[in-house]
Amino acid sequence: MLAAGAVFVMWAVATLTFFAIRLIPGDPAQAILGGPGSQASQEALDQVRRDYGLDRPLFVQYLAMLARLVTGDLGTSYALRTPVADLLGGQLGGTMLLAVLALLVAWVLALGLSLWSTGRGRVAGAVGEGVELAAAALPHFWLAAVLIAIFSTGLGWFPPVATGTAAGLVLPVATLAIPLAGFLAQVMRESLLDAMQQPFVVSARARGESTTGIRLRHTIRHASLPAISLSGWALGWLLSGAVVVETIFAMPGLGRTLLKAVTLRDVPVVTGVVLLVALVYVIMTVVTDVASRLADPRLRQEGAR
Amino acid sequence: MPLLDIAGLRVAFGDHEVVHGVSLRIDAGECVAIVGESGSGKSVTARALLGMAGAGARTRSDRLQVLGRELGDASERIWRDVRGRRVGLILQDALVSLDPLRPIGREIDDPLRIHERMPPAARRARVLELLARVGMPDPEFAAGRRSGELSGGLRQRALIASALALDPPLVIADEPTTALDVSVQARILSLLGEIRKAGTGILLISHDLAVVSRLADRILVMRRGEVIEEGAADDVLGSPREPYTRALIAAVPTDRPRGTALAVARSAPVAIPESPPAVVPTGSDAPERPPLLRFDRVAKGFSVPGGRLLAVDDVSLELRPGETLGLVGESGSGKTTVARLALGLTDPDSGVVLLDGEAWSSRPERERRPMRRRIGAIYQDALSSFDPRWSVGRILADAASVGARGTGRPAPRVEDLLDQVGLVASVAGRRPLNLSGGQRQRVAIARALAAEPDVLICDEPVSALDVTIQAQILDLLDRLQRRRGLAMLFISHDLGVVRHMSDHVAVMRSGRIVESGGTEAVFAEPRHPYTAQLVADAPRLTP
Repeated sequence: MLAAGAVFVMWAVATLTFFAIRLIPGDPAQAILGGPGSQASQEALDQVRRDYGLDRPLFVQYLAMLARLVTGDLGTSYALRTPVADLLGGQLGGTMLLAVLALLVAWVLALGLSLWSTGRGRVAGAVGEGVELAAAALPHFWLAAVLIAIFSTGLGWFPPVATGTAAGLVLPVATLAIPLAGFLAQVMRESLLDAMQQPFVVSARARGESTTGIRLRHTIRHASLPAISLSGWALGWLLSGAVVVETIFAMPGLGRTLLKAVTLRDVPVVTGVVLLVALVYVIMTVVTDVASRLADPRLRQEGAR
Repeated sequence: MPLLDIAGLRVAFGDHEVVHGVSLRIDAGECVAIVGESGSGKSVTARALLGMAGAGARTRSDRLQVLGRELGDASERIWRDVRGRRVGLILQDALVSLDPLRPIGREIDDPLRIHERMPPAARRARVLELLARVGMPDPEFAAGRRSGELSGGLRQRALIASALALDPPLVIADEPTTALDVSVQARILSLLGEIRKAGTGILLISHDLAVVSRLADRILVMRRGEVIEEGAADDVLGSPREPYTRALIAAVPTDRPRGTALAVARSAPVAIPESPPAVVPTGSDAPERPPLLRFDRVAKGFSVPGGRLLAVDDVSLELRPGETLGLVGESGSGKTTVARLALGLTDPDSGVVLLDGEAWSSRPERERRPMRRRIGAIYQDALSSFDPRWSVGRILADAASVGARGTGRPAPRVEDLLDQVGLVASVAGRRPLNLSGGQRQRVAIARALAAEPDVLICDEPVSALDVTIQAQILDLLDRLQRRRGLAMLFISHDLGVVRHMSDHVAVMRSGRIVESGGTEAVFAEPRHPYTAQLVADAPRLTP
């Protein structure tokens, strides 16, 4: 069931990408021969169209692409003439590291903020809410510029471009993590407040449990449940955020590869990146499902019923 | 030295004082009960004894001593030491009185972990011992369960075990048996009785005098934040001084014959019929009338892991005009499935349901819809059956116009609908959320009657209400039935309520009707052992 769903999603993504990319004006053959600026001759263009099957009807091209994908062949980049799988394989690690780090940092920030700002009176609550809202609303490109201005140009703590070192990762991770943290914290605060109203908190207090103990043993867990479910979506969101962040910080990665490929109309690379991101989405959905079940035994029971 | 000695306890939220000077003393092995309706301040009083009156509460007292220690201005740190070790708290059973994410063994272990330096193995042994003590079957297995995997009765036992973990000299039980089936309730009460016999003092908080009368040595009656009557249980129950106490006692429906009013003082105006009531013979006066609703060998099952659960198994019932058929049984016995079948919300696997002699269950929904107005329903949770954004007037007007559709008669007016359930016309402008529990149930009844049905299905209509409000609602239903000749299917786990309301009764267990017949015949001389058990467990006043 799950596998069938995953296959369906991958097929739908491949199909949408295939047709969507044809809507971009321009000639793929031109792209293959060095982009819009190149002075390729008509013969060369025809030759390329025959070689790549671009002269065949669209539907036949589509079926040919599906047939290739089924065998695991992502095709060859128009621009770089290297297999797409190799190209992406080299970029995936860096981008995933960026996204996963950002997700972890976002979780820590969100937990800290929501725990600090709940159950501490009206002022702390209002401050927490304001910070969350502001953080969630920050666009990546603006946040990146501000962070560079303060921590790189101003204080000189971190390099403004990715250097491949840990220090070089700090600003890109922060750029991705802060808006997500604001968003997660909003969700966590809601469920924390809800959990704190529940009778089991009264029971726990009546046993002599301290406020910290109640948070650690009871309410944090309840507050984490919706945030866990959201994390799968969040990772996908981070991957799309990586397009902007990798470009700004000049980091090698999937995002920048995607951006370049779209500009060059490098269809196989675009399709490859989109499929890869979709695959990560599908995997993360499964992972968060399993994690939710681990954290909430009630879901396991419902599944059995 | 008394376990608990308080004098002049006052609790206020902001400028609003909700407890006005309560004094109370409990000795070892004694059970003192505080009785009152919701909002009387009894729960706030109980929580204040743990320093947990609530966020923003100000507590003042002339004396607040637990085991001789003055706690009037104790810090949170001192309170934490008292909680769990000196005083245990048992809340009302709810899925969430224990953390649904944690195994109950961990919850019971908490007081040991917090207050005692015990090695984990010793704590584990103590948890199992506690579970065995509260009568939990298979403690080893149960310790690893979470509250959602246990029945209400077992959950309540686990909650009691967690309160008793350190053998606190005093236990506060806040509505410990509310929402439990009668037989489970009886077992929980006898468990509390054993704890008291072992020397533990118990402060019992309840709205239900019948529950209290089983356990309490002394009773305090609270109303609007004040103790209005206090004394030995026998005196308070046997010769109450205050009219309010008398009203509370009169409201207990068990052993009160059908047709007698339960509510002594009605807070709501009595409805005045606009036309002389058509006297419809009720109950046994009209046996020859054909049944309005008939179940003929109805069965309905649901898929569960490992097979099929027959929720309703070969059930035959007949409900005649002007008659009340009581359906009694514990949770899970299939009562609500019967209600859903009667309402045509679900179709039987086999057998038929007939409405006024016509096929009801086997009809396509399109044909069934015009007949739907003939059956109304009210439920336990009236609030969630309303659209919270709609005013009462809109709720009723909507039901009335839908009910009148296609009948050619004018829709009843909202004021008349409100009037007949004893509500003033101004209620029409309010929203359900701003009404009391009793008012909401009155609105629900008015809505059910708006379509002028012949049959009213009442599924646990008073289970969530205080006993005095319950009495008013039961009286109202009785009056409406007499005036309109309604046939009522009255479903409840509360035998006392069913007995008071019904002409005929059917006892349900595991989907089957184990016994049925005239109410008094069944309950006076139960033939089935299960019925006999239910009768024995029914809460009644035992002064």
